Formats: sequence, structure tokens, C-alpha cells
Amino acid sequence: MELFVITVTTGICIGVIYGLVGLSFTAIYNASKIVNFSQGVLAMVGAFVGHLFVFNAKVPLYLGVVLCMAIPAICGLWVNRFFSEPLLKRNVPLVTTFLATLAGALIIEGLVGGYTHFAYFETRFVFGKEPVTFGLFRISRQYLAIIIAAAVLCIGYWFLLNKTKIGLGINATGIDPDMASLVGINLSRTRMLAWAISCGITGIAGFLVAPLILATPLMGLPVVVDGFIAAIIGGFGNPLAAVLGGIILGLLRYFFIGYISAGLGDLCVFIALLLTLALRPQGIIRVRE
Amino acid sequence: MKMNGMRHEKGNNVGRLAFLAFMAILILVVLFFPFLCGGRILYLTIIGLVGAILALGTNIFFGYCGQINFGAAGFFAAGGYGVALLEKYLNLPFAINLILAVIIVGFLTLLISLCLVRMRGHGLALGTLAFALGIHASVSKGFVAFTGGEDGINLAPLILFNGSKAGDSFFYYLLVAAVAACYWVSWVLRNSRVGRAMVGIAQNETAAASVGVDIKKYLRIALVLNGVMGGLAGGIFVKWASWCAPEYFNLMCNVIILLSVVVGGTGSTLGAVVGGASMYILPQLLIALAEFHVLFYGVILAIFLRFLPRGIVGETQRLYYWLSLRRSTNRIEGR
Repeated sequence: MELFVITVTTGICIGVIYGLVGLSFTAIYNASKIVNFSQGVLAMVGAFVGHLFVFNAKVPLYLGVVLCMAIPAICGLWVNRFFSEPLLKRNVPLVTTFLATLAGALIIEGLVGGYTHFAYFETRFVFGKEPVTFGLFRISRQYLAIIIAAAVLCIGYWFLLNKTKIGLGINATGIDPDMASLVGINLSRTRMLAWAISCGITGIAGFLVAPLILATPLMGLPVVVDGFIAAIIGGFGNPLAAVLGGIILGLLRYFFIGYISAGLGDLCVFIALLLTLALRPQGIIRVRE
Repeated sequence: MKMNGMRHEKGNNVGRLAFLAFMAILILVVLFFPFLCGGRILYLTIIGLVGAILALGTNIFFGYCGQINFGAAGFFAAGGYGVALLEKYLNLPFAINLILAVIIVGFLTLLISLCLVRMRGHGLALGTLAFALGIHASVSKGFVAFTGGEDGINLAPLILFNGSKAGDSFFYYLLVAAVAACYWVSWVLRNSRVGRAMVGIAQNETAAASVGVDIKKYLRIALVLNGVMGGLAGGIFVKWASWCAPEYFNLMCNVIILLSVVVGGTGSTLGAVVGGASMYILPQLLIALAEFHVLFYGVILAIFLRFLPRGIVGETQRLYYWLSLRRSTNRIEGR
């Protein structure tokens, strides 16, 4: 029973983080129809900013959280301005924009890695380790904080996208850019906004997950792969399905690790992805339109 | 390159002779290279040749068909582990191991291609990446008792027919032969019906399908060729390094292979050789970079994507055309 509870809580917590990265993927995809491969590196930047400001410079937590969202958002905007927008204007194939965001990811990772000598970031459980008890479930405060933060971010993002004028603009830009610009939406500014929101969410996800996965400058590409898998398993293009996909992915991985073999966790995730892509490319969660 | 020389220097015997002389010298240098320089330079050349085979393979799927392959390191790893495991458990001679490993990788690729050709764009990128990472995860963590985990597998040195140990120069000739074979296959493919169908798929899939090109079939052929070449490179590489470990085939390896195709010139056979060799040799030379190697790859990729999208070979050709065009315009205008 102990093992079961630990597996479920860890699976959901890590899965929610994948889900948040997947959500940011779809946020960018919905606005500019490109897949941003630098997303995971921005999560790494979030973890690095947390390490730099919250633990080393002892900045108060609320300010640290703001910085963890702002600095990755700035990095994301840089990737957008320098790589994705000029290539989108040139009307290059999708593959090229994909590679361009990868180039941005490598540059950011190289800079942070060069600065920290690829050492582990010093991170602690910001919200404390002492567990909170809910009947059978005992969750450490950091895990609880992750779940609450993820819920708040998801609801906030859903509200922004569906209930505000800004969200309407973002959706319209993705569906038909020409039409959107015809009705007076500034395309480039809307895309920048979507990138900033999405990269901010990724940054905070990276900051929250850092103490659980021993964050290093190299965590970017693995995180981006996991987030991407979450988005595909859930159904690409739908933000909330991405979060659910992330939870499914996290549970799958940790049940494999806990009950079958520690080494096969990663492998089963990749097989699950290949099966999803082959059998249900639209994702396993059906959305009513 | 040969074709360009012919087309532009037609009727110009001096240019043609110079081209032939250049080719003769090139062939001589390639044949006697191990006698001219040894040690570190030979070591770097071998690494460059392995990179060239990997890039040639990926160029078929990524360059010709225009479909992203983010999992080339998976084929590389499959070939390497094929040879290493066959040697460890069956103890067959290297030549048979290599052939068997390449065949196994070919079948493995055929198997996953059934699933991969159904996807496009980001799905394909992630599918191929998942294949490579799956292979990496299973050899490094999944089946540790079988594959030796992170410690890898040690391979015995290769014994030649005369009883001596094969040195770097033997592997140099083997790799030159392999590069030549892969280059030849790529070149023949590019100028055949199959290759033209592949380029058609890259340019416009709907148009290609409407004139009767079986898209899935050609993508499968391209992916299997890609896998076979990657497996060949992996098999020779691990025997030369006499160690097969997951660290050769990590996530970064995928990035570097894709990068070398872009740097050389996407879709160009010569470009793949140039790009693969340079992307594998340069980091070895720039030891001073040490912790900034990731940054170095990023900057190179960014420069080529934004400013030199045709790659080294494509941009050189364009420069050459531009110069010859200007020269002939000047001649006509009597300048």
C-alpha cells in the first residue's frame, strides 16, 4: 500500500509537470503553428533562475516566482524574434522552423551550461518537506504545491484563452492568420504574447520540478521530449488534454518503475508513444467540439 | 561537382584536364593517406568518415524525401550493439557480425518504418526521436544484464588474415570503402526513378501522389536505406573503438547528425560527406571549447539556418554560378 501511494503521488506530480510543458507546447502551436523545441530548455532556465535567485541570492519567494516566469519568457521571446518569426516570413518548411527553435535551445543550454560547468543546480524543497495527510495519502508540501500550482495555471490559461479578448485573438491567429490580420489583430504581437505566456508557464514548471529530478543544465532536452510526448498522447493542440496526457504518462512511467523494473520506465514511455502515434495519432483523449 | 565541371567547362580542355588532374590527385591522396600521416590525423579522419556515413544515410530520408529524422543515432546504436552483442554471445568473426548486424538493423528499421511513415512533421520528429531514445534507454538501463548497461561491452581487437592486429589504417580503408559505397548508392539513387520520386515527395506530397507515386513505399525505402547506412557506421565504429557504450549514442548524437546534414547542404550527397566529416572532426579539434561545445553547435546551426540555408556545398555552388554568370555577362558586354 505504501508503494502504491508513493507511486501514485510521484506519478501525478511528475506527470503534471510534463503536462504543463505539453500545455505550453500547444499554446505556441495554437498561435503560430510551429513546435517550439526550446521549451524544455526554458524549463531548465526556470530551474536555473530559481537556483540563482531563490537559493543563492535569497530573494523572497514571491519575487523569485515572478523572476522564474519572466526570465524564461524573455528567453522565449528571443527565440521567437530571432529564429521563428524571420523563418515564418520566409515561408520555409516546418522542419526548418523546428530546427531553428532547436538551435535556440542549444544556444541557451550552452550558455547556462558553460556558466555552471554543467553541475547540478542547488535546489531545495521550497515549500518544505513535511507531509500533509489526507486519509491514506501523505503528500509532501512540495508535491502539493506542484499540484495546486498546476491546477491554478491550467484554469488561468483556460480562462485566458476562452473568456478574454486576448485569448480570442490568439486562437484566431492560429486558425487563420490572414483573416485575423484583416480584422485588426496584430499578428506578430499576438504571437509574442502567446510565446511569453507559454514560456512563463514552462519556467515555473521547471522551477517547481527542479528539486524532484536533480536539475542540471542538460535537463532541457529530456524534459522537452517528455512534454512533447504528453502533448501527443493527450492529443496535440488541446491544452487541457496535454495535461491529462502528462498525468497518464507520469502514472505509466512510475507504475512501471515501481512494480516491474526500474530500468524499463523510459522504454515503456517510448513504446506507448509509438503505439499512440501509430494507432491514434489524434491522441487518446477525445474532445467535444 | 563532376557534373558542374562538365557543364561549365564544355569545350574548355584546360578546365577539364585540371578537373581530371584534381580527381587523380584526390584518389592518390585518399589511397596513400595512412602512409602520409598517421597518429592523431588518421584518428580524426576515421571519426570524420564515420560522421560522413551517418550524414549520407540521414541525407536520404531528411534531404531527399524532406522528412525529418531525429533518430539517426538509433540506427547507429543498433548497428554498434548488433556487432557487439553478436561478438559477445555468438563469437562469430567480425565480417559476419557486421553483415548480420546490418541486416538486423535493416529489418528493425523496416518494422518501425511501418509505423513511422504514417506521420509527418512534428509527429515524425518525435516518433524517430522516441525510437532512438528507446534504443538508448533499453541498452543503458532496460536490459543491463544483457547489454552491460553504462559500462558497455568491450570488443576484442580485430585479427587480420595474416595474424596481425588491425590498426587504424585498416579501419581507414574499410571506412573509405564504406563511404564510397554509400556515396555511390546515394548518387545512383538520386539519379534514378526512385530518387526522383523521393524528391517529388519532398517538394509536394499531394502532387507526387496524384502522379502515381506510392509515398509510403518510397518513404519506407528511404528509411531502410538510412537505417542500413547508420547500422554500417555503428558496426565499424564500435569495432574500431573496441568499446560499445550508450554514451556514444545519446540524445546529442541525434542533434549532431541532423546538424551535419544541414551544415553540408540538405539534399546534397557531397554536402552530407563534407558536413558529416566537419561536424565530427571540428569538436575534436576545438578541445579549448570544452564546456561550450553545446553553445558551439547551437551557434553553427543558427548561422546555417538563418544565413546559409543551402549549406556549405549549396552556397559554394551558388557563389560559383554567380561568378561565372558575371564573367560571361562581362564578356558579352565587352568589358
